[in-house]
Amino acid sequence: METLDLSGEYTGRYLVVGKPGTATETVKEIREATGLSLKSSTDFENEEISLADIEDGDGIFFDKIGVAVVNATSAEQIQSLNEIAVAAQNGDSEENQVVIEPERVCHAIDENWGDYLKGYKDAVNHLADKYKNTDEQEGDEIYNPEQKEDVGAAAINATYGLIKTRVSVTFPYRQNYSGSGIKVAVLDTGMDLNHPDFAGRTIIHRSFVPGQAVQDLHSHGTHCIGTACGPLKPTDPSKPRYGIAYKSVIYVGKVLNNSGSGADGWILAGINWAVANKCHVISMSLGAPVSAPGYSAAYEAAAKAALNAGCLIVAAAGNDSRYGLRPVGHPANCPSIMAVGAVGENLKRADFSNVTFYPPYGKVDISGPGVNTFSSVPMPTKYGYKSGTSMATPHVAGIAALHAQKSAAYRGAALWARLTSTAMALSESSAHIGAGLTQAPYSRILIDFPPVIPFPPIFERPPVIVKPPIPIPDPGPIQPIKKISKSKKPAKLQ
Amino acid sequence: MPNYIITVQKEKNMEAIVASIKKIEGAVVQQALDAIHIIIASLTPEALEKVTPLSGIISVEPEGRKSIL
Repeated sequence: METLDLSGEYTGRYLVVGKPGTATETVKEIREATGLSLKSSTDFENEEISLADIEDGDGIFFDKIGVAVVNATSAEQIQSLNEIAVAAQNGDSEENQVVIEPERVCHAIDENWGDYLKGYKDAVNHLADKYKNTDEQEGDEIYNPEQKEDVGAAAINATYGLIKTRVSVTFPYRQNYSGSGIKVAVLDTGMDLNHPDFAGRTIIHRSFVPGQAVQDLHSHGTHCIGTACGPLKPTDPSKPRYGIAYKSVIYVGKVLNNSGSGADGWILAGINWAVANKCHVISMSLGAPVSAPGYSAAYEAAAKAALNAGCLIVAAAGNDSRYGLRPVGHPANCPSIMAVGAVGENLKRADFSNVTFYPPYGKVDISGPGVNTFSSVPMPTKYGYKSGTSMATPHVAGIAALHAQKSAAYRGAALWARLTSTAMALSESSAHIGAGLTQAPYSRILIDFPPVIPFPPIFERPPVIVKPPIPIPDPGPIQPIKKISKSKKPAKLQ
Repeated sequence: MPNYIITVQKEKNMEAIVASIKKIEGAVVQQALDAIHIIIASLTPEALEKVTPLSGIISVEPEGRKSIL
């Protein structure tokens, strides 16, 4: 049973959630368990029920919505309600599932416009001061003033992928996360360790490919790492921002050789290494096509172990659908690995991106930008464009790092839930794009008006000093204008 | 000898399973990945038949290859 968030205001009553249209059964079950005698909304004419009806007696079951408001007062009654809920969770009461939660007090969001107008001038002044002094908190997100200039500048010039995923935002939104303190492992063809855009970064690397160093002689790995963990500002100022978690700790696991392929043993060794090093996110832009239902027990076990250790694995769904829809590949088709599909700048599924084919397994879980993606490649080329679900995957990995930085609660399965619940719904089937386009956490700049200071009453106003008027010399009587005859010669000037 | 991916139940002692596999003729343990409960081993067909039914082993899969996507 989930632990309820009891941080709000509560009425002392409880909401018992059953099934609509089961008034008789639910009322009976609660009476037998708690001794509470609930009314049914069906007992009231047109089911019109007042607050007094709820407060009077033990409670009411709203038959049409399947919710009861229960006035449980004793600890035994609450315990009994809990037991009903636990039984429902355990499947002992499948026919009439019941869950309970405390009834919250909700408030309308109200504004007193009279006071607002009175305090308008002060509010505007406060707002002006706020933008001058940016070391304030916005909502629940702490703003780092040192980043403001940089993030703002980078937001203007960023890849479409970073803009669409809200990694790069402009006023009135603010991006406060950098992946700081989060470990991101990218298991791929390695990395160009001499790339200037990563100078000064913490990079832990290891090759699992026999006989090959981590140095990326392919370019795929450097490109993926660039998207997930690249810099806030490329060293070439003419290039857009392409990196997401620009302060994350980078774990480079070379599990694919310089030709772009690798054995399962190398990949699993890379996963093991990342989990053992307590990485928070593993990005795997690799895979193989499948042609039948089922998934690898080995990768599933590895992914489950990773989730239990607080590490989320994201993997590319595969690029086999250009000439007909194909299933999510291996290992992304494992239930405990987040499968990432690709969308283009138009937010449509990329034509190559694989889809859910054998539900309930092998589902596309989420999507990321994966068409013509700009990122880093090994020197001397330095930058380049690539397309594929490989490119979508590090977008999700980098954004996962931002969410993980936002809250230590977002780890493993919770991070998975966070990513899918915050994804932007798109106008395509979830079988094609999963929960939608991955979205970074960001904050909206809220105008926090100060308390209104009313104007003082008239009699308290300071006296108005009226200065005497400045005397204006009298110009004398106004002379009538004389008519000038056309035939008359003008007077000669003296 | 081909490589196989041996998935071990997480409750089981990896060292004990590794030791059991090493005792089987024709089995060579390449890697024991403790954090994810997986053993990579080279197995002859005869060794494969002996490893598969060992207690604590979930699955034995032939090692494949993956590519960039």
